Amino acid sequence: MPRHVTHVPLRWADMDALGHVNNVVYLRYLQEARVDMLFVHAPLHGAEELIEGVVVARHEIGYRAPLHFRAGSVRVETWVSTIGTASFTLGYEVLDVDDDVRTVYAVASSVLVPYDLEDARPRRVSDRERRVLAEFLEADGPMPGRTAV
Amino acid sequence: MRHVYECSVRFDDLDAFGHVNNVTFAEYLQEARVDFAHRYLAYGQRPHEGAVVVHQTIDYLAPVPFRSEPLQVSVWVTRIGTSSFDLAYEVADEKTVFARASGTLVSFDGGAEQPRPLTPQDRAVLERFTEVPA
Repeated sequence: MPRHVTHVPLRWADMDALGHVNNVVYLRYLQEARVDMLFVHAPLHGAEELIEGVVVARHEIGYRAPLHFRAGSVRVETWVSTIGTASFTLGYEVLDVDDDVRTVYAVASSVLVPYDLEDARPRRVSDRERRVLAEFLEADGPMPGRTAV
Repeated sequence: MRHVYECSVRFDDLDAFGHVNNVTFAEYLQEARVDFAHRYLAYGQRPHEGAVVVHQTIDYLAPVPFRSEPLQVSVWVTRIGTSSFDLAYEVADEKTVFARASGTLVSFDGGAEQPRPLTPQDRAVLERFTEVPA
């Protein structure tokens, strides 16, 4: 299955006092990629509710290498790792691809919950949403595991 | 012992759903962590050296609408390694826990861009704030 690819522009102020992109900013890159994927693909299946009512239940992120500012953007690849009854999980890699060499800066996953904002409660994943997500299903993608030092 | 950081919610922290955006919670954790490091750890006095986050997990338990009263972000230590340590966090008020999180940090030499063993002084501080998970 394909991954959704988003090129997120780096801003100079994404770097912190250590001179690399701050850990929090990576979550913003993931958000840009996730929203881009859903805004592009949900309407193709008439599943606009996937844009309007989904909340994040969990993030896990493993930082693999420092990312320094340069002109241009960084690539974020997004895929779907599980589709449950009332939640689904996205996987992400933040990386550069140069002559087929992949430099991975972070691997992450997010559990997302379809949410009825009016009733303020979770709802089930609809069949239309399931069709959107199934296009990007990659059950054995990389995971943001922990590395102890 | 836990370090508690009083964290104000800014209007700009809310997204179009009218609650604090998921990314902003990671900022709150960072503020609490930096406040802890700056007060107690030697490396916290040198923001260009410090420690880097290598892994983090955040569980979002309840939405935070706009509020004037600050949130309490508590942070404590759950593991101390040679160069790394684990922190746990809770974002809460008197009634509700809004998020729980955990993360691994690596003490880092900014000049050499290399991990660096924790100093005995920093290790002693981290031990004071250690709470082993049940």
